Amino acid sequence: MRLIFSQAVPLLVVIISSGMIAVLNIPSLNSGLKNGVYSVVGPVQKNVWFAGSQVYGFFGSFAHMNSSARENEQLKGRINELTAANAQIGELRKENEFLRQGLNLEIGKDFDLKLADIVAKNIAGDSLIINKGSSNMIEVGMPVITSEKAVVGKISKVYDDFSEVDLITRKDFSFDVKIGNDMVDGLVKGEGGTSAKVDLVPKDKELKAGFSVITSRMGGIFPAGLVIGAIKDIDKNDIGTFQTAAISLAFDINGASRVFIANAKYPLGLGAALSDQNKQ
Amino acid sequence: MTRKELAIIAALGFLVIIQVSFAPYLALPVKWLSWLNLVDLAVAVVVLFEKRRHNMGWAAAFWGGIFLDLYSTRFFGFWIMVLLAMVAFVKLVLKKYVRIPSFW
Repeated sequence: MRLIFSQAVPLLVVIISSGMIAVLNIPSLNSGLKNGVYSVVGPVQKNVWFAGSQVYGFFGSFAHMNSSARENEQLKGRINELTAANAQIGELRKENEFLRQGLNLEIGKDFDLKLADIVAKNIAGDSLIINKGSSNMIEVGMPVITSEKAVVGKISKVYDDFSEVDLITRKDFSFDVKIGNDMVDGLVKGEGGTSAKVDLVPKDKELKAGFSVITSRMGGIFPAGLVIGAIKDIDKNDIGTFQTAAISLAFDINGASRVFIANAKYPLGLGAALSDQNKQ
Repeated sequence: MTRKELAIIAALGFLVIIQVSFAPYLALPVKWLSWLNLVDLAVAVVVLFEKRRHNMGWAAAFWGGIFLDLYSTRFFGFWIMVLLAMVAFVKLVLKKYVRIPSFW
């Protein structure tokens, strides 16, 4: 009898534990548990996150020392180019202000921006946890951007006071973009490990390193005109119909401790359309 | 539950916080570090150096898995299963092929 009992107890523990874990996969329970844990651990995590950024800032300079000399040479060349370009900037600035007033394409037309702190990052899974949730009217699918209007990702899961953000570098993440001054269509695909590439660019279209990559209204995820980054390494395969290129992302996770969640006032694009209608 | 077991579970909880808040910064200059999982390593160390008749490895895998699942985007229980499978594998290898001096 004692033998049967001693064998039954571990089996019972395994069955009860498995049952509890299965129950914890029920979305409402799962969200409640995670939200509770994040609420308790959040303040500690915020401090650890800040400490991490300080340590990275200190040691990061050593890590990049090797490439600094090469970058220095390249930057000297760039200074000469920029000096020439600087002369044109004054004129362009006036033109830009004029166009901005005329077109009124501020992101605030389409969106209410909500500020959130980054409390954790899953770098292998390319996701963030931020300290705004359903109690702050955050919903799944909302775009997340930086103060420089660089795209970070979109909300993938919402808890009461926290949310998970899928970074645009996540492997299953893809959306439409426009490239360069000619606004060539392309598709950004996440590659994991905080890198992304642009794909499906027709071979007859010109791609050059440094071309800016911005969001397109076609994708339906982000408003148009947000910065993704710049073209880096172009891969023009002889066999394929399309060319691909690596992107130097505008969003830098190193410097980021806060992000904006863009809460759409209208369906994408309707804000600008309404604005035009009001003017008429 | 002994004091030692509680200390190991608390350490695993702390390691998860380090994993999701501090470790990402280390992985920025060194890409492969993004695959480094401190909790996996800690559980492996526990199971490698515990006495053969002890079951701390199983408990460490269970609690470490729960902590990792709280921050994981996968289904709840994924990391528990991964860590329990790892402990089972290490115990099997140790039992059949290796003998390591235990420190506690």
